[in-house]
Formats: sequence, C-alpha cells, structure tokens
Amino acid sequence: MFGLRISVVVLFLFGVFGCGKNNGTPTPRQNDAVADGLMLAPQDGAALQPSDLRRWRAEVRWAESPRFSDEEILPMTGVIFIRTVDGHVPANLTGVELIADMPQHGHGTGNNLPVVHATEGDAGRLTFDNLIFTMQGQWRIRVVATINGREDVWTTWVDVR
Amino acid sequence: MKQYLKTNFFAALGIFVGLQGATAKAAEFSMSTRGGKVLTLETAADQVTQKTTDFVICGETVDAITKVKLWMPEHGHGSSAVQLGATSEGCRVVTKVNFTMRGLWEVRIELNDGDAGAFELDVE
Repeated sequence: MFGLRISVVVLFLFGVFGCGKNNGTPTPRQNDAVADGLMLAPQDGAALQPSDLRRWRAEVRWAESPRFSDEEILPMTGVIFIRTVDGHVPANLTGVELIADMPQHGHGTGNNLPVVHATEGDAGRLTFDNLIFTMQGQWRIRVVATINGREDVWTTWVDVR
Repeated sequence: MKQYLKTNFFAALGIFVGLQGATAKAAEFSMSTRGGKVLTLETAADQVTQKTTDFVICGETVDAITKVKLWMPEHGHGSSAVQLGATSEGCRVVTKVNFTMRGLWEVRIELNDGDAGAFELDVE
C-alpha cells in the first residue's frame, strides 16, 4: 500500500515538472529568431555594402532562403536596409525599387513585380514582398533608391534553389 | 416604312460588325494530347504578350487536367507556377500566368490518366 502511495506521488511530481528542462518555459521558435533578425537594424550601418556609385549603403535580408518552385507560387519576402555612406539613417530617401533579373538569360520576374513598403520608425528600413522567382539559378538583385536627389543602384546576387 | 427598315438594317449591321470585332479580339489555340484529346486555349486579347496574365482552357476532358506548366523549349526553362481554376461549363481559367520573355512558349498540360500535351504560343 505504501509502495502504491509512493508511485502515485512520483507520477504526480513527474506530471507537474515533466522530464524536459524547458517544460512550461516558452522557447523562441526559429521563425521568431528569423523575424527578429530581419527587423533589427544593422549595428554598424557604415559596414553595409556600398551602392554602385558609393552614394549610400544597403543590405537585403530574406525571410527565407530564396527559392523557386514550379509546383506552387512562392512569393519571397524580406527587408531592405539603406544607410548613408557614413552609416546613418537617410533623411531624404525616395523612390526605392527592388528589381530581380537574370541578365545571362535576358529576363526578369515578368509581370510579377516585387512591392516595396516603407516601415515606421526607420526611414531606411523597408520591407518587400511578391518577389516570385521564375527559375533556379543566379539572380541579380538590385535596389534602386534616391537620397537627397541622387539616385544610385545597389547590386547583389543570390543563388535561387 | 422604308426609312424604318433602312434604320433597322444599319442598326443590325452595326451590331453584327461590333460582335465580329469583339469575337475577333480573342486569340484561340488548339492542340491534341498524345492520347488524342482535343483542348483549346483562349486569351482575351488577340495576341499573347508578356502582359498576358490569364487564359482559358476548354474541352471535354478539361476536368482531368492536373497540371499546367509554362515552358520555353529554346531556353530550357519555365516560369513561376500558374493557378488552375475550377471547371465551369467545360472550361478552366488559368491565372498567375507569367511569360517572362518574348518568344516561343509551350503551355504544357498533364491529365490525370498520364496523358499530356502542349499548346505552342508565340509570345510577343
């Protein structure tokens, strides 16, 4: 009888505390970490890659690895950070565009064009969506923007799988 | 009376010409699958261009279509996935069409019995 009581108590404690270290403690999901990383402004804006004419700096972060599927429509999303040459948030940023193309094939994303949105709190942080790659391979990603009336283009390449 | 008939005649002629113009606007393509099933593809405009975003596929076996894929045989690549609508009156609307460049494209069709075929479109 005593043994039965012990077993009940052990089972009760096991049920309450469980066997995992984090039981009851919320653990961040990977998606949250990705989202946090996406939205965090770069610590050192001056370390971002310069635009082609070195008029400003930029960085593109993807919500997930750029990929293509001919089975389903996969609109890619992400964040664009734009900073002045010395790393500050640009005060007079206008006309931000995101362009994706494959120069070696002579085409872009066709009639699906990515859309860029401004966000609150940081004039140099913009989100983009509806970037739909039409095939695998090396894609050129260009950010076109104007700061203080001076347009420039920032270029990077992504390997779409 | 004569004037009345004359007016009606020209009105009817106008409607006829108008309808002809309206029907002539659509571009229509036809193909047979490997298994001999006939399907047609129709676009709203008289030409298929890079701006074309949708078309309609019709035929007795349209319900059996499981996949529609855009393919550019000369370049060896396709495009992003299209959206295949439900069957209505023997036709299915295909949306999210994206011909990324000019040239000869195939609209490849797969049916649920393993049969397949392709429309050939010259995209402007």
